[in-house]
Amino acid sequence: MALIFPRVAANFARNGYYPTDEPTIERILNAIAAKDPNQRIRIIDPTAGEGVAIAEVAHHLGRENVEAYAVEYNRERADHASTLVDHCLRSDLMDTVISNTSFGFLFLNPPYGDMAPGYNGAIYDQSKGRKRLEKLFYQKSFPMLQYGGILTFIIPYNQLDDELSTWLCNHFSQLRIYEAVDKQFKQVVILGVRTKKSDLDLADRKKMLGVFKAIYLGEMKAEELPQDWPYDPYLVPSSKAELQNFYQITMDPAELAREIANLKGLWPEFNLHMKYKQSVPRAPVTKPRDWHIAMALSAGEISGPIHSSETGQTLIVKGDTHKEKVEHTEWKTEQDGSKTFIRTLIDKFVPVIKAWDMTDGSPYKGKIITITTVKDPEPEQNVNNDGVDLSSFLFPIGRLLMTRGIDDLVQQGLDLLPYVTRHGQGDWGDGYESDNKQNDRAVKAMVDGHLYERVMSVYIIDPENDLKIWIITEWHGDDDGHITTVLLPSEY
Amino acid sequence: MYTTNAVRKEENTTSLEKHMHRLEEIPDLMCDACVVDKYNNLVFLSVWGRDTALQELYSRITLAKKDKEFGLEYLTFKIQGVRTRVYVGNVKELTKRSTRTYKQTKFGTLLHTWIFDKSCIKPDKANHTATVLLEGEIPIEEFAQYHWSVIKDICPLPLLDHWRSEITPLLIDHKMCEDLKTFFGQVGGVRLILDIPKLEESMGDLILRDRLTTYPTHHTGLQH
Repeated sequence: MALIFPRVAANFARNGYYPTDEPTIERILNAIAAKDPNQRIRIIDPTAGEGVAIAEVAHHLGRENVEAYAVEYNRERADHASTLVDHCLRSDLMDTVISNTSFGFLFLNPPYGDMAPGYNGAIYDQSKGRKRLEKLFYQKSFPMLQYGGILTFIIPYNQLDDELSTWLCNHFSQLRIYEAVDKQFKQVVILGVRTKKSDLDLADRKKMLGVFKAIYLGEMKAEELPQDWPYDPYLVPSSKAELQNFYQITMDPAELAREIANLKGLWPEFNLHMKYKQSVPRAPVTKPRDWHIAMALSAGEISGPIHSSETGQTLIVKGDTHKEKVEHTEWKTEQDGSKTFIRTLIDKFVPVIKAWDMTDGSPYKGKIITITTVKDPEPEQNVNNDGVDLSSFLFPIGRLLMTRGIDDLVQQGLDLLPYVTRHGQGDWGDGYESDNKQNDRAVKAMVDGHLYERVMSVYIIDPENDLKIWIITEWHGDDDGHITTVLLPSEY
Repeated sequence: MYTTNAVRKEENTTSLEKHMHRLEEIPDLMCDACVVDKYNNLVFLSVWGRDTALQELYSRITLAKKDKEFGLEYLTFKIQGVRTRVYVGNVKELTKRSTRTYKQTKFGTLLHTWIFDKSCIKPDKANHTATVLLEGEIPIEEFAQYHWSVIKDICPLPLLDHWRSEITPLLIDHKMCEDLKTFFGQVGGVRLILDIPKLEESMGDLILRDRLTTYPTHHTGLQH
């Protein structure tokens, strides 16, 4: 047995693509007209193919007043359609967001075929009868029409089952049904005006349901679409409101690349954003005095070769000022008697003027002469006033707090710093082995330079009097950072 | 999100498409330029997407290790069929620039964002480092000129313009100037990490040998 009937296979291979035949389109055009000439009309074909049908409708209604929208899945056909309409999405219709009640005219010639079970467009599929692509596309598309908007719906007559007929009769008035000019696919053309359910004429509705049923069952044959439209034309209303949404959900790289070619984004401003703004030194407006020169040198405004006629030196100078952090530490006593160790970093501006000695015969030739306000070098930047080498710490100790009991001990001459240093360096002291291992794990598990679990050290100060201190470091969130508390076990 | 991506059909690649790279972790984001350092750490990334997806990216790279489920420590791209990781590194050193929201594009509302290392726009004079990025096809001389102006900016030692041809090779020899890798897109760059003591020593030597002089000398080698 074959996987699929060859005739059906051809249909699916073309994604159900059967463009509406030319004579049928021409006769449909005869049946429609613009309601308000010179006003904007918005029309859509959600399964546009090459876009010929919707483009012809646009011309018929007055091209300059019509905004034509199209959606087409096949890339080549979508490429063609986008040359004919104003806005074209290359997308599966079920992957688009298109505003409801925004279009005055809907041309719907959906793909024909049965739906696979569990088709992922099923959220639109409210069908209880036979699951057909025609129904899926109908349900997704008809809400796009404004009330008073005109539907042109082309399907094989044998798909006009009870369910689809009922939908049509519930959503549209002034329904008419004709046979398409090309008989190959047994298509019918259904025309109608979208109408609120409360405004429907129930007698008409009942009559049309009967007509649809008779045609579906083959008891009755629809007339061929007339060459000369015998009635008043269906009037396509203008669309006053702005269209809110007409886009596809899934990002398609090629389509996005095209869109970016139009949008451009930040790219034209690359140099504006990404190039350093460098100042160009200007010549002084007046003869500089000594302090001008000093200021300008340290600001980096003066650079280049200098000759001193007094000393005979030739120097190449460059001045600059940069910011350095100066660390400042202090103990602060709180009102409740506890003490806080405060470490402050203060910005300090440091002017540095450097010069190459270029003087021939000078012993300093090829050496740099530096003038600055800070002593050079500063090899031990990480050592604070009290001699604690913070760089050897395994974790940040942050603010250091001590309890009243500890403060009393400090008053009596206890030096905390060796214990804090041991704590910081991971010598957990005299606690339980299991606690120390837990501490090691906490330090290992640090992320972004902060602890997730607390670490705790125990140090025996005086074994005879059973005097111990605890040092606990915990992270208190981004705002407070780490806090290290020194306390007596009795104060816990 | 992942399931819809899984059923998405592979499209035929066109010449336009090679510029867009889908971010595997957040498939609704597309990138059109990516520059990394030698450790594959992110230096510059150009991203297109809807606001919601971009917010997702910012938050997930900010969380990084802190959130095992959603945090992103690296971003994955398929580049010429090879899955490639771009490490986010220190998110605190990253900054961004964004366009206004483009409304009513084919994909709804879109934003364009650059995420990049702060050193790209702010040279670090205290540590003598800078990242130089350039977009498009830049004539070599224009690049060299700009590159040199950045070097002069971050180098505390006095430099004269006519020393450029002596100094630039010095930086390369001493690995003070690293080319950045362009994974895709039209952006490229170099990272400068000046070693001042080494530079001072080498330049002092060149001055003593009169290779660096106070004024340009015109020994062009051409016979008159």
